[in-house]
Amino acid sequence: MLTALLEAQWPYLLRVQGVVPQLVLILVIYFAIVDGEERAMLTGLLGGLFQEVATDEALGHRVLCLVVLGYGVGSMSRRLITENPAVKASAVFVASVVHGLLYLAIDYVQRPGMSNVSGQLAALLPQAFYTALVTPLLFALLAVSPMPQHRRVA
Amino acid sequence: MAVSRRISSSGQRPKVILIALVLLSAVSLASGARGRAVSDGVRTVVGVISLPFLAAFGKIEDAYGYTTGLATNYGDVRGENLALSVEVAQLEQRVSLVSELDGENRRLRKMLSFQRQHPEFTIVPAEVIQHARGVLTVDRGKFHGIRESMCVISPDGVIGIVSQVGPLTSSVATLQSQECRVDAMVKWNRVRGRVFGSGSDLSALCTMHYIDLADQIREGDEVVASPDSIFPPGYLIGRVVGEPKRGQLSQSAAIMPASDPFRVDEVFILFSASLDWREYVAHESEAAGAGADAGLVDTRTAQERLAP
Repeated sequence: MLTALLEAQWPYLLRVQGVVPQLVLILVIYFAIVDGEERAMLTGLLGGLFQEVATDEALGHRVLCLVVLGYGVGSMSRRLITENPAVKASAVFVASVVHGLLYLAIDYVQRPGMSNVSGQLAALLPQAFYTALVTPLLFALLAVSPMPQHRRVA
Repeated sequence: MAVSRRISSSGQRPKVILIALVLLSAVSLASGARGRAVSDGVRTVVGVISLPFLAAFGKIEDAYGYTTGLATNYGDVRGENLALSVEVAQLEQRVSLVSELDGENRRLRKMLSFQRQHPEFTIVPAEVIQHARGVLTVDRGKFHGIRESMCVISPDGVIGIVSQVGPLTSSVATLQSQECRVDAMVKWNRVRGRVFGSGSDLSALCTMHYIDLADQIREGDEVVASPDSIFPPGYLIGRVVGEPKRGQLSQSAAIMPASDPFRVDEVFILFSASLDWREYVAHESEAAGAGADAGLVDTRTAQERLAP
């Protein structure tokens, strides 16, 4: 909620060269790696919904992107056995690019005549890079924070 | 950044959740719903839920402000209370005065209307300044042309006769006075009699005596001045109350005056009606002359002295 609030209401606090990191996406990836798909999808649902309501976007747009990413990363994270931060930051980088592409694709389907597609595509990589840079810091904060834990063990 | 997997999900549940969420998102996107719809709904629900609490908080705030205001502004409130009490008293006096003026205005309008409806009467209005034992004192006297034995009436009926005249005031023997006797008749069958006052301040009833035993008189009959009296013939005196009392030689009946002298504030003094007032003056002079010749004090009432 806090990250969604920061990202939606006070983006100027995080903006660097016109790019804002996707904090909610980092959270989704974190929970996908740590707790699995279900919690990642729940985080994506809540964070995306909050952002859509706060910015008056089409309901379901961000949620769809985040839920799909949460499921995908959660599924693949079973095979991620390394604890190297660079690997996880890279995963976030890739997820951010995929998220941006998915977001733009849905946007394009909804508004076929939209303009400045190339400009938004050009902003994907810097945003993904900035998000990846923030990832180690946010992961460390989340690791030490008292989060509710799943009790279910497969 | 030592983050490790705490659980490992398995089974079909994540897939089911994914499909459900994707479907919901797709439906929502297809419907074109915007985030504002959710925020408006949340705002509405929160507003409805919080309304009683806001009202309660408002009342608590008012009560707190009132209590602290009482404590901090006690002196001012007390002074204001006193000032308001004085103002209320003044307003009550003013309302009472206005009410009294309204009543007086109604009475004077009624008298003015009466004066216009009876141009044959030459009358002078007078204000009652005292009432005692059936005798009214009015604010008109010799200076205003008033003489003894003049008729005193009101728009409702007979009041009495001028019994004494001072320079600026006069006494009026009303229908309650023992001195007042008025020749009267029942309006519908012209049965004659004479109306006597009770002489009591406690009752407005007077009595019609000398009604022939053979004559018929009923409760509610209108009693008017007869042509024998000094009042304009047919002018209303009152109405019969109760059954007549039969005596050995005649019968009598209680009369409720049409105009209650106990409650009247303004009256008319009749200078002339069907007869010229000069005839009364001449008659009075004659009677006074006869009394003086006899060398005795004339103890008769004005009615008796002036009756034909």
